[in-house]
Amino acid sequence: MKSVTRLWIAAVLLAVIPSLGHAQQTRRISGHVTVQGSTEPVPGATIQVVGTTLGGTADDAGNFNISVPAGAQQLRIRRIGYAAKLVPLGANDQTVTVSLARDVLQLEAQVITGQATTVSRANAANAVTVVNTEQLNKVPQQTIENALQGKVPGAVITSNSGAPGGGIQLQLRGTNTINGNYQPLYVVDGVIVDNTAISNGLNSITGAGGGISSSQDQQVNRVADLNPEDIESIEVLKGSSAGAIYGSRGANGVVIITTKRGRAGAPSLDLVQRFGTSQVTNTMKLRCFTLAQATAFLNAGNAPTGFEGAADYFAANPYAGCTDPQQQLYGNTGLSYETAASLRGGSGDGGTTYFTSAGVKHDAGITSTDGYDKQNLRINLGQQFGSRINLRANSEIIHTLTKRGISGNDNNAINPLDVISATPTFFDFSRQVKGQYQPDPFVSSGANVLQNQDAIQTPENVYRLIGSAQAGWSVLASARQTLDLSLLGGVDQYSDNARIYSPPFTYLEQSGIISPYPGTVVNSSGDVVSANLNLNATHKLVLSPFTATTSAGLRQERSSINLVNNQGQGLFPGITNFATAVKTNAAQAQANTKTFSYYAQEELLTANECLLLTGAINSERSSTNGNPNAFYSYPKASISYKLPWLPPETDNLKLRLAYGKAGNRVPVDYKYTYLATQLEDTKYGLRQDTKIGLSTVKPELTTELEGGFDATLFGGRAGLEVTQYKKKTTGLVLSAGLAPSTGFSTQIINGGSMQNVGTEVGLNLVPIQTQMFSWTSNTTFSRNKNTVTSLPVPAFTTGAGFSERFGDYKIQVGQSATQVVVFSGFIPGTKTRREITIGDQNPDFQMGFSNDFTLGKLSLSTLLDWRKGGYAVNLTNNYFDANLSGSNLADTLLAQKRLASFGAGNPVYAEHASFAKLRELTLAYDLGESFAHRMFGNRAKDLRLEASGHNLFTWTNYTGYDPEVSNFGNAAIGRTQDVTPYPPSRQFFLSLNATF
Amino acid sequence: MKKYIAAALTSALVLASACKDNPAAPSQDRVVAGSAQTLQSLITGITSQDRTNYGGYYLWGGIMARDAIVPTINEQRFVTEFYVTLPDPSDFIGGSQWTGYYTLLRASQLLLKDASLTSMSAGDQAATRGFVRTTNAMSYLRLIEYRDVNGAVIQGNDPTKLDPIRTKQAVLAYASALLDSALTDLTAGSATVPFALPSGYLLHGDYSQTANLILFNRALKGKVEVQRALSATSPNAGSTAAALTALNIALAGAPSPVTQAYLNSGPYYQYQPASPESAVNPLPGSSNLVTDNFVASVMAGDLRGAQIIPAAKATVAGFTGQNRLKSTDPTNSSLQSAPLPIMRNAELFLLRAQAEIANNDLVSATNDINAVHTVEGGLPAYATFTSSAAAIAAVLYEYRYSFAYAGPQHIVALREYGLFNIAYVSQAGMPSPGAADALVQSLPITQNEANARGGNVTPVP
Repeated sequence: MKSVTRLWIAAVLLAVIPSLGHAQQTRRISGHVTVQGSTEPVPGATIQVVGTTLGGTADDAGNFNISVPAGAQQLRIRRIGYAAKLVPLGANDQTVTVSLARDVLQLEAQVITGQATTVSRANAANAVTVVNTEQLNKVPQQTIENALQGKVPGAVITSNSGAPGGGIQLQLRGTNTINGNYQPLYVVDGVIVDNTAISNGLNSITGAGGGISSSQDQQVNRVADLNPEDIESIEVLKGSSAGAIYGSRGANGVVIITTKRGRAGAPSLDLVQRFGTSQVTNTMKLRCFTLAQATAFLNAGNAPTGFEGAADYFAANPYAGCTDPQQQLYGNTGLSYETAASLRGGSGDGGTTYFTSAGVKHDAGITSTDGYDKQNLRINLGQQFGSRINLRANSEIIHTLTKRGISGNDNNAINPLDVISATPTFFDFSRQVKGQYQPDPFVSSGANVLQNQDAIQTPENVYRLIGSAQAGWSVLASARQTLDLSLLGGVDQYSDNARIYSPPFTYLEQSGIISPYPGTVVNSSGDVVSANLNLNATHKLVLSPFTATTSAGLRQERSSINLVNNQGQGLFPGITNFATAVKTNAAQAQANTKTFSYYAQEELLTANECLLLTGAINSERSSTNGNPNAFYSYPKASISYKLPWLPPETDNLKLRLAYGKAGNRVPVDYKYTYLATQLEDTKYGLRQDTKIGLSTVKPELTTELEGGFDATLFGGRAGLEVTQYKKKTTGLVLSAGLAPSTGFSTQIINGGSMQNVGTEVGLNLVPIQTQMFSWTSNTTFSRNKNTVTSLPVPAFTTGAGFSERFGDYKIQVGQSATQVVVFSGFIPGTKTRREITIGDQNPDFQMGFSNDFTLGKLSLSTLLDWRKGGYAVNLTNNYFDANLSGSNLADTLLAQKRLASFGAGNPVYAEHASFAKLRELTLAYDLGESFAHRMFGNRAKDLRLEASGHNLFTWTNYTGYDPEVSNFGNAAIGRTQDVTPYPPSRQFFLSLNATF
Repeated sequence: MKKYIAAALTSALVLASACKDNPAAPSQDRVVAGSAQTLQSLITGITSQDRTNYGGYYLWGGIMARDAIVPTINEQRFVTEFYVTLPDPSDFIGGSQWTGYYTLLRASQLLLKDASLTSMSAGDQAATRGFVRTTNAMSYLRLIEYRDVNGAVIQGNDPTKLDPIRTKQAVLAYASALLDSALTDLTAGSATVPFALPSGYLLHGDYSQTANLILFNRALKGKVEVQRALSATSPNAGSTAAALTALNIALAGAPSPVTQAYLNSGPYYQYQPASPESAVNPLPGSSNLVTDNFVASVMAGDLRGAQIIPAAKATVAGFTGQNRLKSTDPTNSSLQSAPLPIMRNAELFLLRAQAEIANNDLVSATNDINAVHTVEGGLPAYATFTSSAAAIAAVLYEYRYSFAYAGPQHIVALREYGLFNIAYVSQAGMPSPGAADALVQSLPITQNEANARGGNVTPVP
């Protein structure tokens, strides 16, 4: 491979050497860039001499000084957030002043087209969503996935629960896989970051699945560690036609995150101080009992063994009758706060630039013991050495502490909602006798949910370092062509240390339901390292008819995951060292992968920069493939054309078409047929595994054709983007079911196909724009339809689900891969199963409505997220219906009717999950520079006060806690299983932002 | 599909490439073909799988007979799948007690072809074959105990071939022949099996001795033949005599009077809860209760009644339990490692009694019932029964109280005598069936098995 690399570099060099002597005569000019209608400078604006590679960047004061060829020229001035402008430059002009209008439609954002190339969004051939820092951080966000909700057409975002600290998953343009990874790749400043979800060992006390830990452990996808405040922009490449540049990791889309960088100019200090709180959004409507009702209830055979009787109980208990334990548990409205500071600046032209930030964040949970804390420190440095070499180093250190409590599936009567469903509300969990909580006599574990809440600890500490170093060498820079080499090395390393500690004195532990040895601890540690090395060469040739950008490069990736769980049962109170336990168990999982790829890409911008043609190929091998030495190729091609003739009231109309192939990496282990091991009497037992691996397994391949148009209308007052795509995934990596009577249960095969067809629409409007008042509106629409088009095996149920009785997911030709089916019993008198297709887990469509209003210094921002359709499987209702025969619900008759209907085989627990949520609401007031001066002295430049809320209101007919959650968040299929989740919450914040 | 399975099997016990991606999981190159260590590993693979299979075997039968009830608030299907609806073939109950047995059977087939066996002496080979085939016959027996008339698959040599689902009688006939074949092997085999058996095989008798394995083999043979003889739909004429012959061999060493130690004799599963084995006796569970009728129906003075203790009352979907057996007490840590019988002699006396009742030999039947009734129940001996019905009722009682939480013995006997309905509404304290209950007598053919057959699960003779 090394010889191939050398050959590439030599070829590129040879191609440009003949041009080295074609230098032109140049002159120096200076200029100044301001915001249209004001004297406010536009720092960082790029100035390019049209038809050449010459240009420069405006400094902090908006000034620039560049070389231009002799004679009359045209300058193109661009800055993200402003509309680009062409400015004529006379042959004798020495200075130029340019004013840029704000670009509310974001047409001038640069979008990524390759490993080392970008293009103006105005020319882009793919529908790439760009979310900038203002859009991300209108409301304080715990994680970046939170921040993307409602802002990315085509993205379905779900969460494991409402617990603090993340656990949110993003899926773009439907699912392309059944067993493989379904989430997009995350890249931060060129570093491929890990998004593994690691179990914390909660399963040891919930018994939700087998073993010490489980996929049902409310796992947090670790991309949650990233700090939204540090992000300059996020580009979302949604399909394979754009993601092809990332080879076998591009099929599910790529989320490219660029953090803030330093900028030449005086130091600028931004300070943010926030205070806020959280509040439970939705609870089940529970029943209140009168003494007579309670007595009747107990006398109906519901009295627990040894229960003293309703009358005595009511007399002894001042709260009896109508205690809502949900409020006792989830009624906390503790103080949340966040302090963030960032310093940005740099020495003059050719010097050092820096961006550094630090933050401390605390999100109080809606219980008194749960919460989320984060501290982060970032330093981004840039250094220019002469005119040819620049170095850039980015690093971020993050610490998070997450305490998520207990929620989701459990088999040990420990989940608070599970216990509440089986305990009539006249039992008061908070009642104490001689300072002790009382056991719940209505559940076999005796678990008192408040005692558990106080006693059981679930801290998870993550220490993470994401760093990269990049060196750029401008090998050639003439008026007509440039050749740049760049080398980037990045590493993402973190340790995830979680502890589940359930002390021995709780009624739960004493009951023996977890184990006969009271006291459980699980100490889990995950060590994850992901590293990549990228080498890129980019040659740009600018001639009058066209600009040709040729790039090529190599990328190597390595990742290592090592997860260890140590469990101890039988502990002395307060001791959390598992090694001192009466009984210990351990588990370990490891996975290493290694990938190498190389690519070449050609972009041709021509026809007066109206036509952009792109072609590229990426070739990649990976250790997870059956043949680790085989290269798989991922080509792409695209075309965009800005029409020169325009309909009335149209400023710009661009047609675009993109085609590409991208892969989905084979999960580790799928190529092997293992031996199953079972230990007995200190002897190793071996037998064939029931899963048959595939020694020739290869990545799933997704081919996408995407087309659409972008129009700018009414003098920049409206922008419309319409995109239609069709993706086909072939060679699905299936864990196909076998007849168990063969002795094998599943086999890995590459076979079958599915397709996703979808539409995405974005409509940006500026209905009103005056000096005093402005209103901008952004509406997004997306829909996706998935169809399984072929299967080499009979239809089968799969994904994360509990039972077809409640609602499960069936892979079947002609149907959606995420269809929800329910087993509705047998045809009377036969053993023939009745299976009803209910609908789809994914919505029919989604819409986002974002509106920003500005009145002088006052501004109001809103974001409404509407999801229409989709089905969730509401097992929470089943708990409340079946336990106490539904007597604990306010509408007992409905509960009993529902359970009876379920018993008769009706699909009562598969529910419509449509909703609309007011995701974000921010009211801000700009106190202005003069006020800032009065408060903090003359160095202060701006002061802004904000009141904001997140997930403030939900409109839905869904009868569970939250239509968005899933017990099995981390699954391509089966993301809508609602099992007694951590209830959803809304957040309120008051913020003060100051700039110095 | 065939080629995938064939390719995998070709490499199954040969060597695969090294497994650097996942150092935590063993790849097949850890097996040194032809060595004694390999045989030991493969034998342990089978015995440990058998122990795993017992994890559900002990429970469902008790629930179906309304002796056991598992009203757990967080998993209501332990109640609803039996009392409210029928078991879903795709669910964890309706889909259980199937796959594990076929995993064991395939592992056995691979073992019997392995060079580590064929390179041994003829006597050692025969002893090994005899043990493996006896274990295999037990798997078929257990499969059919739960599937009953739904049938089961007799696994062929070729895993790429979908063998038909066979009727209950065909499967039992196959198991019977397999046991006879195993007997031939054990008779010709070395005095001691050439591998170490789990310690549970040495607790109540040394079953590493082929002579004792022959007794175990005949015990299973007797059980198979009783079930063939008493099949409610198609009884096999010669099976009563065959059962008596086999059981007489198995019980030939019975002392007089019979002792509890003798009734307890047989191979056992042994459990080791500590890491790394982490195998826990499956009986203890906070919701593993017994029904009120089970408690109310125990005879006064029955020692087994003393094994019933109160538990926290639990109700799910209207079905309640408030007592448990001491053997399911989750707070008793000593139970974690308590051995459980694979088959013990007490059952053989009751099986022989069933055969004797079928022969109308009520004197012998009474004696055999009394062997359990007086020793395990501590109750006065029954006078010789004067009717088969009375003897059958006594057999059912002994099954109910000596084999509670020990498997489907009681439900199988209820089924054989067509008395399944006595487990229902006619008696106080029994969970009443829900409207959709069609008297759950067996588990269905699992959904993935049905899927692979295009939904056709009709058994063939």
